[in-house]
Amino acid sequence: MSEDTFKFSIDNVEIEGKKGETILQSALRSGKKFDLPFYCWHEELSSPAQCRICQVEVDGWGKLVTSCSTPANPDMKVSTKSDKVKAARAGVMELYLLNHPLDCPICDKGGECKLQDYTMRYHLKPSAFTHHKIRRAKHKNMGRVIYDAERCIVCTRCTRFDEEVVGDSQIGVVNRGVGLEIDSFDGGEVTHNFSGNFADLCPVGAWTTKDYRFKSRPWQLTKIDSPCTTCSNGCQAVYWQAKNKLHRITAGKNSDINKRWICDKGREGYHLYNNVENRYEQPMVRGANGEFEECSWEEAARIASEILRESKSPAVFTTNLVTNEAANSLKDLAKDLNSSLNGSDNSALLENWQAVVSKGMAQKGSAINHSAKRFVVVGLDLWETTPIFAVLSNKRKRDEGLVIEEVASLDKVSSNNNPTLLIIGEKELGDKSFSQKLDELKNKGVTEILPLFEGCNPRGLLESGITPFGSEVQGDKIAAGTALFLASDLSREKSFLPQFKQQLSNLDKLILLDDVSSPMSEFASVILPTRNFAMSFGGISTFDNQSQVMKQVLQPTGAMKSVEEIVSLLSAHDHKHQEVPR
Amino acid sequence: MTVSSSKPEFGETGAKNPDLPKPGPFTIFTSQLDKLVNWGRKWSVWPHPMGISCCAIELMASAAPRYDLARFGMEAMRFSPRQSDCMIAAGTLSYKMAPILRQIYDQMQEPKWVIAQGACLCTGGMYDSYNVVQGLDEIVPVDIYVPGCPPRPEALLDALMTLQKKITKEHWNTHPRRSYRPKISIPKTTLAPKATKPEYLSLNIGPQHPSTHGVLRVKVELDGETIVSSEPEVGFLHRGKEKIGETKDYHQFIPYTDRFDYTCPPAMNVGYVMAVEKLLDIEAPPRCQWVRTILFELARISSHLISFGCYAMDVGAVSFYLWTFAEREFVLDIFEEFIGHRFTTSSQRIGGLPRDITPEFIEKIRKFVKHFIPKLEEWDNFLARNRIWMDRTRGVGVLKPETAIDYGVTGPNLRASGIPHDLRKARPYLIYDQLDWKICSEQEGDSYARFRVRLDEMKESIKMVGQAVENIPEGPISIDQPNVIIPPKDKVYTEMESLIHHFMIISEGIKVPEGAVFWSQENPKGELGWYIESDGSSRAKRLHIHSSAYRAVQALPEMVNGQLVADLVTTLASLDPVLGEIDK
Repeated sequence: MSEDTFKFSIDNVEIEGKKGETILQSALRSGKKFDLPFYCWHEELSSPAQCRICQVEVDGWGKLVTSCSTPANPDMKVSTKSDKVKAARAGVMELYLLNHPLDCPICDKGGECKLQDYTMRYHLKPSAFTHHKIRRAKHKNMGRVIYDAERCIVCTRCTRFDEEVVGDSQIGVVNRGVGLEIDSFDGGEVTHNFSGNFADLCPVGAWTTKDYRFKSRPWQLTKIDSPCTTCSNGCQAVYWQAKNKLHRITAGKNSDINKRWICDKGREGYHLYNNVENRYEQPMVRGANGEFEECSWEEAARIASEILRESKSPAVFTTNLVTNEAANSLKDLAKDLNSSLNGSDNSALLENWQAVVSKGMAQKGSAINHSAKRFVVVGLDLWETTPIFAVLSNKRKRDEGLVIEEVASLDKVSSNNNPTLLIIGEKELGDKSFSQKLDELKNKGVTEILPLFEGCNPRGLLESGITPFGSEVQGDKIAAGTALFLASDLSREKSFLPQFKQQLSNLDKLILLDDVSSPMSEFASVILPTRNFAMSFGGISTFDNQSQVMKQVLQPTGAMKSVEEIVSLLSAHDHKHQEVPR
Repeated sequence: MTVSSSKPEFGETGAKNPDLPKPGPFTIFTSQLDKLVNWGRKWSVWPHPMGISCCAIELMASAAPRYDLARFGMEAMRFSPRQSDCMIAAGTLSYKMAPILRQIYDQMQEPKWVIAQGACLCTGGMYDSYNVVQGLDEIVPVDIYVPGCPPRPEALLDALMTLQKKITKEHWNTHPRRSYRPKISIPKTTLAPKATKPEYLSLNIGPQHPSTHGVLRVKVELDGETIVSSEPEVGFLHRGKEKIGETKDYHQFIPYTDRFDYTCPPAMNVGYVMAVEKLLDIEAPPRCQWVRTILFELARISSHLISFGCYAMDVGAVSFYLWTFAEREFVLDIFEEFIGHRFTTSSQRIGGLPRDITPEFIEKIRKFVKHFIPKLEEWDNFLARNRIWMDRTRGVGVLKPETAIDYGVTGPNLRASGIPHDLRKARPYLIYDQLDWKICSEQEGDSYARFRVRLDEMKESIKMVGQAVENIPEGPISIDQPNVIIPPKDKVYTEMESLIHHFMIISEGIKVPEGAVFWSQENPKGELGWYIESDGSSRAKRLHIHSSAYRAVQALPEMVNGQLVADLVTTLASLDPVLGEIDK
């Protein structure tokens, strides 16, 4: 046992305490089951000790103490079950329910509400309150979320999150005494990109998201942990699914990627996968009259592989919304066709990245916990590309004095003695002269370089030696000829450049792998219904090259197939044609 | 059908009402052949009672005196498909039973009417499990669906009237020959046993046979009329209820307990909730205990009445079935007065009763007690010294006490073998130790002894009911624990605490502390055990039922081998198996 650790007991069970840790933290860390409830405490936030439900009795101390704010001491004897504690908790619960509206039957939180859970645990008595309840503001519009003052117990988790994590304090506690409630200071809506976390944080039903309002009951949904796919941040999220439809996404926990938060864009990103009406469920081939006709997989695969074989310059492309496994199987397919995926054979971007890797300057480890003292962002808006990375590094800027510099171009990077993480976009990395600037950057203190692109899995592609889909691919890689294209939601991605459409129209034939109909389909000759990302299983890499496992959260409908299956189908036809001896 | 002329009076010449046509000397009927033929047909339907489980008991009740199928010309139930043209299918159809039902349907006479009685045969009902056919129309065409779980006899009568209406719309000469393709693939039946020696005859008794009391199959090998070997086979009514118990919360499972031993649902309810109460470490208040005892003993009477009636009918005394079922209706009236259901009552809640008893409930019981005791005496006098009855039952199917213990036989069957073991005395629960009664036991262990024990038990039970009903204490009917019992509705609508308690019990279920319990009760069929394991959540981690009739049926070969095949019917009836409890 080191000097910092010691023993103390809760309910006569001995556990290990650490210097500077509270009773609650030690109890949670021990992994043992103790009766320690809490509303206002949150592991990523400060503890104001104001909900009072976590009170415990310490042997020899006169008054009850809040376990979330009292440091654990050696040989302390804590009791969570004494009569005094029980009475205190029942009293706290009674006060919370005093003016609480009878909303459970219509409240979105019903079924996952701490007020309900703790009432069942600590307050098994009928109400003693006979007066009228105080009426307050209900369903107040706050942008993406809705606030209900009557349900609020003013635990201030939301305001502390807003102040400590987001750092812009758009909301706060107003009024006094029994009139306490949360409001925005200008009375308007919450405008930042993280307001959905209020609903996740809220232990009661005061904050609800508009997106999930009156949609479902939590016990009717199946929870699946899987990363968010909206940007390359790859935040751990929880997908809530019922009857093969997604109903919401909430934040998961990963202390190296997103702590406990996700952004609002990610929270609403699941709608992409619920587009059942426009989903392709059968392979389609363009007939003689120019209309699509449904056909069998056998037929479609035969036609598609014929097109690819007969073409002089077949090309294979994928967007960044692809698992590492699918990307590698497409890479193999491209190799078979004497081509390369996303034109990786001849890519300045890849060459530059190779140079970075060979100089040992590629970023390693978790970006949000990165050891560099200075982040230099070149020509990027982190709040747009990776919002959670932005918000967490800005938190470090406030808390730890991390320096974040934003510059327009590489030339303007200032020199500094501190180890520096350089965050660059596609434009800089794709520049042909970039590799020559590396030494100069090193002299300016840059120790590691983090490339940041649009889309879900660009870093995974980059690490597999594939050019991520971006302006380089859209600009000159698509020439006249034939292409097989894994579109997976490309039409809905913002990285779809206007001139890209022009490029597509130059193609002779396009074999499209997609899950729903999109503007892309007008250029296609063959459409192969592909499982969308929520239906696939595989690995993705986050922007800082951490592995995340994409779990299958939806079941494929109709005759949809995964990319790997389609590639093997196409290859099988290929082999049959060449009559490879077995 | 139209009658063109009113009744003529011989020699009458003029009508009193000049508007009416003049009556002539002859009466002439004009009708359509269709209508005439269908009129005849609709009063001569020959139903085949395809009784599988709980609904079959209500089907039997429909044929009994109070509801009286004879009114429709349908009282002649034909157990052979060759003699019937209307299948009244009643119960839960498992995939194991499906091919047999289809075979019987194929053997039936045209036009093969089918009535699907009960929710299970309409849609699969409450058994959405891997082994239950989700509706009878998956394998045969259905004419009338009778929803309900089970439907009351009135509903079945209504179905028969609907069928009659349907018949009147038929064309007389062209029945729609049913070219119905089953929606699911039916496995071929493998019920053809092979005899071990050429001179032996191998025979199936069941699974669809009037004397097997459900869908029990007994494979027998006969040397002439003597049974050489026999083997009971169960599983034709397997509904996966133990597994269902792991997916439903504790309150949701109460309706399933009704359908285990469907001859005595209130007893099953009481046993289950008492097991969960043991796990929760709570005890229901005294008033509830007294009401539970009354219901338990009434359930015992209703179970023994079914058993007794069927037993006598199997041996040849058909009128007993009519008499006992007539009495059983009074017991069901009492249940209905208490809870609103006559048959599958779901009459208990964990921690108490769903509602208080009424003065009418007490009054009905008093009336029944007064009426029933002389009936029992009458039956006793009628049968106990009856020459035919004694010849058929004495020395038949003897179960030796040591064999009974080896097989784990309990209940009346054990007591008839000379072992006076009764859980109500051995380990008193509810209020049995406060009542004056004695254990009924016989020494012989034969079918007659088992009849004797059941008849005496009914006498003791009605005595207990008579004592208990006069002494029900005042007080609450449920414990005062909002995490177990839902609060009253008026509080739910006005108080936050009660609303949350209600919401959580309904949406999440009651949370039962970690642990396991084994609780057994003296059921009408014997000792029935509940093993419930909890992991602290609101659903059981494992739920197992130690069924009593299962043990009795397994001992059957010991009792019938070497006897005549007709004695198998007697022995089986005297054992009183119920397949809902055996197959689970």
